[in-house]
Amino acid sequence: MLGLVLRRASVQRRLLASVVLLVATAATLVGVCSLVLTTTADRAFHVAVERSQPSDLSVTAYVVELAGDDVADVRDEADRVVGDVLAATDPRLETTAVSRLRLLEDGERQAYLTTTDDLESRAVLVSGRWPGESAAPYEAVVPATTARLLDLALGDELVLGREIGLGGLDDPVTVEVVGTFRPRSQADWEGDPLSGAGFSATYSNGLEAAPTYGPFVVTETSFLATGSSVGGLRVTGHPSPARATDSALRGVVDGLDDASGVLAAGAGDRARLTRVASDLSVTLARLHAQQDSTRATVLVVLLLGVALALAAALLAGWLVASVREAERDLLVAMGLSRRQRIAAAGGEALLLSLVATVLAVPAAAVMHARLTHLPDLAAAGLARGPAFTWPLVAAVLAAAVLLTTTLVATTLGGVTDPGPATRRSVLARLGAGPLLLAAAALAWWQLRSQSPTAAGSNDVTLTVAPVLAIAALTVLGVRLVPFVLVRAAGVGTRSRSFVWPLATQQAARRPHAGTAMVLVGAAVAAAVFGVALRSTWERSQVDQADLRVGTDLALALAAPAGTAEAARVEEATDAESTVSPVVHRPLALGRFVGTDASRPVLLAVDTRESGALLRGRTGEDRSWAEAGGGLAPDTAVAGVPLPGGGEPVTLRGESAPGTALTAVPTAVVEDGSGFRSTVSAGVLPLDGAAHPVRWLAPLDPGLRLVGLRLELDGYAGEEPTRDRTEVAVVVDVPATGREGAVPPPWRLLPLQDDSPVAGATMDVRSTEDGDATELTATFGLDLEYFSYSGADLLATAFPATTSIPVVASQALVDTVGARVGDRLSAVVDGTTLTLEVRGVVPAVPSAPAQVAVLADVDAVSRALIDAGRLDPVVDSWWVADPSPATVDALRDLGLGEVTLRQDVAQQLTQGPLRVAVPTTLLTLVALAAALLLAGVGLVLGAERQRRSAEVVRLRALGLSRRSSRRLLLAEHLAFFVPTIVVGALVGVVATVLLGPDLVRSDLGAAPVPSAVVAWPWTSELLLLSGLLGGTVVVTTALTVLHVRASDPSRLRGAR
Amino acid sequence: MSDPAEPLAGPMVQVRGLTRTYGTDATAVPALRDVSFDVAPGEMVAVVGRSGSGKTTLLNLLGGLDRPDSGSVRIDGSEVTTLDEDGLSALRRDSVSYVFQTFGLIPALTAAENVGVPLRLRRTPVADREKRVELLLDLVGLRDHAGQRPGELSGGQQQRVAIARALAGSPRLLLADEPTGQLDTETGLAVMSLLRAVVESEGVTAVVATHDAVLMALADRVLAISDGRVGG
Repeated sequence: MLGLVLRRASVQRRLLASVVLLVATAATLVGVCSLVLTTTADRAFHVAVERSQPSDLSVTAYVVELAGDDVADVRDEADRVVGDVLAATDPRLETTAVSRLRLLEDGERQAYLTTTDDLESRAVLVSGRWPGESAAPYEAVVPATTARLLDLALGDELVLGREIGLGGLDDPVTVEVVGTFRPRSQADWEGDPLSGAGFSATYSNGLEAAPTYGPFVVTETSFLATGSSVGGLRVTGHPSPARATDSALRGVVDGLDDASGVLAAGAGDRARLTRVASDLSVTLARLHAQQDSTRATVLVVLLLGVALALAAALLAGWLVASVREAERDLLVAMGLSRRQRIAAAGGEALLLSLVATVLAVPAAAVMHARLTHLPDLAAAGLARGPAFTWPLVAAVLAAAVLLTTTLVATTLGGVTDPGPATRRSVLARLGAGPLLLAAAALAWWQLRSQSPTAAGSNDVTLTVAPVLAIAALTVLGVRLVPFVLVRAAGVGTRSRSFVWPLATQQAARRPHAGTAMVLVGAAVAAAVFGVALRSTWERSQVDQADLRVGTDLALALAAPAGTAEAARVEEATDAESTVSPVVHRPLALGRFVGTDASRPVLLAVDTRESGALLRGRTGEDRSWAEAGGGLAPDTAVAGVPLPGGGEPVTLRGESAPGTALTAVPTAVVEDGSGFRSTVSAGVLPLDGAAHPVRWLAPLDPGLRLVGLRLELDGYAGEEPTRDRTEVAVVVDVPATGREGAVPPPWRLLPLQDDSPVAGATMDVRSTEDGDATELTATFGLDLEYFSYSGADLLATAFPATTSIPVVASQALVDTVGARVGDRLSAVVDGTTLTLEVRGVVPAVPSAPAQVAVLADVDAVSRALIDAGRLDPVVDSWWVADPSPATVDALRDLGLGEVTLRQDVAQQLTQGPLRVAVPTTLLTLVALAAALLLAGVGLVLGAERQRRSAEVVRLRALGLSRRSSRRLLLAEHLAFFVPTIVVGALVGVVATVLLGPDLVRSDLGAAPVPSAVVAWPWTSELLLLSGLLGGTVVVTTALTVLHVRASDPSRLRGAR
Repeated sequence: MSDPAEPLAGPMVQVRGLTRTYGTDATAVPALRDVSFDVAPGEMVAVVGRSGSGKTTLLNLLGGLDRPDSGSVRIDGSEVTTLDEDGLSALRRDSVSYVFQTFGLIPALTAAENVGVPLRLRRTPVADREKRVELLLDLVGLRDHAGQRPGELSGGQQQRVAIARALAGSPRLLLADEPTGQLDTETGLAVMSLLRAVVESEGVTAVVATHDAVLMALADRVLAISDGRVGG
């Protein structure tokens, strides 16, 4: 039989070449997918690890409270534990030690020392130099903020006094400031007690809160030489990217389970607390979620491709069977047994498989290499040369065997007349559709009800659902086509023409039309689905980026900003950009504080610019301008313009007889951009004389005084009286020429809950000569109470804030049950504020899926100032529509991390573990188009085989060549066009039903905001036009050849 | 189209010096060699000969399905061998019709629709077409089978449909190539008798290729062909 098979193959070489080409093409796709799932996936994982933040991969050993003598030993122990955990990844270790807090000279403020291995990568030197080895005084660098607040210049020495707390050392440490620095990003300074801010007015490590400064960074040798006790020691291990494979990192995560115990045992009772922690498991989970999501998409393409290829193999099998029908009948008549036929078919299938595999393996390797060199994949670092791997060979061989076996097995059966439908076959046909539909409905339901969080079990659903849906809808949809054709033929019966009725009759009654229609319809559906899903997926990633960043550019400050930073930001942004200071900080809503992973968030921006500033979907077709409207206070704060220099602001006040009161004024100033900050001043006596106010920081020109805090202290007399003593404090602000006609009203209120102050009033007026604005604070003072508590008053240039209008996120509404109009009690940084819900949005920008509120930054600032929180509350700046120059300028400021919305979107769509999704969907489109055209070719080939005699006879009956072409063309197009239309509709329906649910975020969870179908109408129209055009071209070309080969002179052969 | 009942002065078919050779040089196979004969209007001629004698080639040349190497074929006075593609299609559509050995019915169409094919090719008005189809199906005794498809008919019935189809366009010349070759003797005789009858009733000239001696008796004249030559 092998001889017969080979000789027949020789004769039918063109036919078999076509078959091999078809099988090799499909096997090539399978090979490409297998390489994407293996080689590219591994490479993507490696690149993703390389591009991860170091903190996402590192393992850190924490040791709390150590005696100075134990530092070196315990550090070595921590080094060993971290090194062992990361042993497989060739780690690099970093050590940071923070001393216990030490008192500064005045005994009321505190500071601390730090030593760290990697200072230069975490900080930018602002002035001076980095510290070197030295004996006391030890060389140190400090944050620029610390230096400014402590009035430290280079070369200054500072004594850090005794360590606070039980068991602290008494020996002071003297340091010499040799440089100042600015943190590169807040993230790098997470372990610092002040997070790199350099100052906190109320830092507490469990003891009494006090103004705290630092760190004073010294070398490790210096640190050990000081003998300082260590408050916190951290040893951080960073895996080497080259060794950080998936399996190695999984091993690290496993090793973390025991690491804390080992460190605790090693440190013993020398340390109060020890812990080994890492975000690696979270990072790995995120990377695996991305891998799973991408794998699901590739598997969808693979399954759809194989299903289409199987349909094509069936068609090809019938074509081959029709060519061999006579031979088969002859051999059967001559006594060829079924077993012999199967053996021959098996041998032929094996030979074809091997030939196809030999072609497909290099083709897949080359195509995969070309694919990885596409711009997006190359930019993601995935470009690779051709790869020949055993999984590739196995996948290609399996696909080739499956397809050729299907194909050759088909040739064993009859072709021309399937015979009358048996009851069983009719039942099978009738039942297949509903069964497929039920399976698809089940998959759809599974998809709809999948967990919104990352879950591996979703992988199967994500893969199977679209394949089942497309298959079921196509099988059911194409059943309409013959019905439509029969109706069309029925209409044509009464026409005079020949072409249309015969074409529709023929198209409606083709044998094996179901498989052909399923192939054509499913290919079109897959292509339409692929294009729409790609667009939906990309749109969703952009939506996620919009909501995640919240605006076009976010500058997250590494340290609290002052007026100077605000001025620099304003200077760095161009006039076309919309800029807003932003408050973005955790919030407690009553007792609800959320979870570690998701805290309630307060976002405050300049809502008067919310339309231009904010990004992300608001729902209900509202703009952000509408959503944020009405949140800002009705009027801006006018304040009193301050002179930038020249004549000073003066303060005079008179104490009651027998007393000697003093006042410390703190100005709340606002710059031209609305940024508020404070400037403190030195102590002034209330002795009846006017004293110039000595501001502790320069007042920049253009500032306005919008608040004034007066902290009163001093001697209240020998026997302080409970009777109220009237006190008046007058602040004269020299005129600047920028004052309004009438000074706005001010308020004066005591800041203490139990205050010795009563009857406070504030009067602001221009002096008679117009040279100054006079702010007069008048109040009564209970001197006896005052002698214990002092007095703290605040004057403001704006009305009291009773509640802050906010827009709440849907998550807040769902969690807390708040409704529009409700008032919520919220705590921000220990200050209680009242929020009034004015509206609801699906999500607040920069806080996707979180319990969050959006408020106006001015309103929040006023409310916090009212509550006595005068320090700047700005955490970041948001910029809309920044020019490239603005982006560069803001980055160059070095104030903190700059995040661009488009960068995040690009990372989400083109990150190494994500970029394969859109590319694979494009591959699906290309594959579907190729299989559609192959299907058209196979259908036409089979029809030519089946109908050649008929066409010749029609020519003999007088049908002209032109009419023959028209007849065949009309017949084929009557078959293909409705099928393509059905396929397009199936693609649309599958996209609408499944598209949004197939999109996952980079965390493997449901995207926020939820995905919506994004129809790329132009692409879809071009695609359908291309598919239709390609079908018409192939049909026309093959029809012309068919008619040309059907000359009436061949009538003899046609009999 | 001329009226088939109108008497003609000359022969319906005039063949002179017809030669056709397949292949070239060493592989050349002469199918017809200098064949000449006439067929009178209304005459039914049986062309007989062994397989490979040139019967089918002769019929193909008469119907314009093939072109001779030399010689001429005149149908109703018109030279066939010089007609272009469109002219040949028009000839087959309007003047010459075929009955095939394998019936050549279109499986997707009913018997009535198959009979109507030549009329559709000529864009005959629907009412006229339906009337003509009904008449012809009645003529071949298949009126009750008008709605059946070829697969639902017996071989004899299919050939009767093919004869009705061949007559539908009222051709001047009917060419039948082994019309009973696929049928048993009894059915073949019935079909041939029917062909004889309808040719007479429709006034059509017929040239029928066969090697069945029984059927030759039904012809007006027998034209024997051997090795590409007409014997008489």
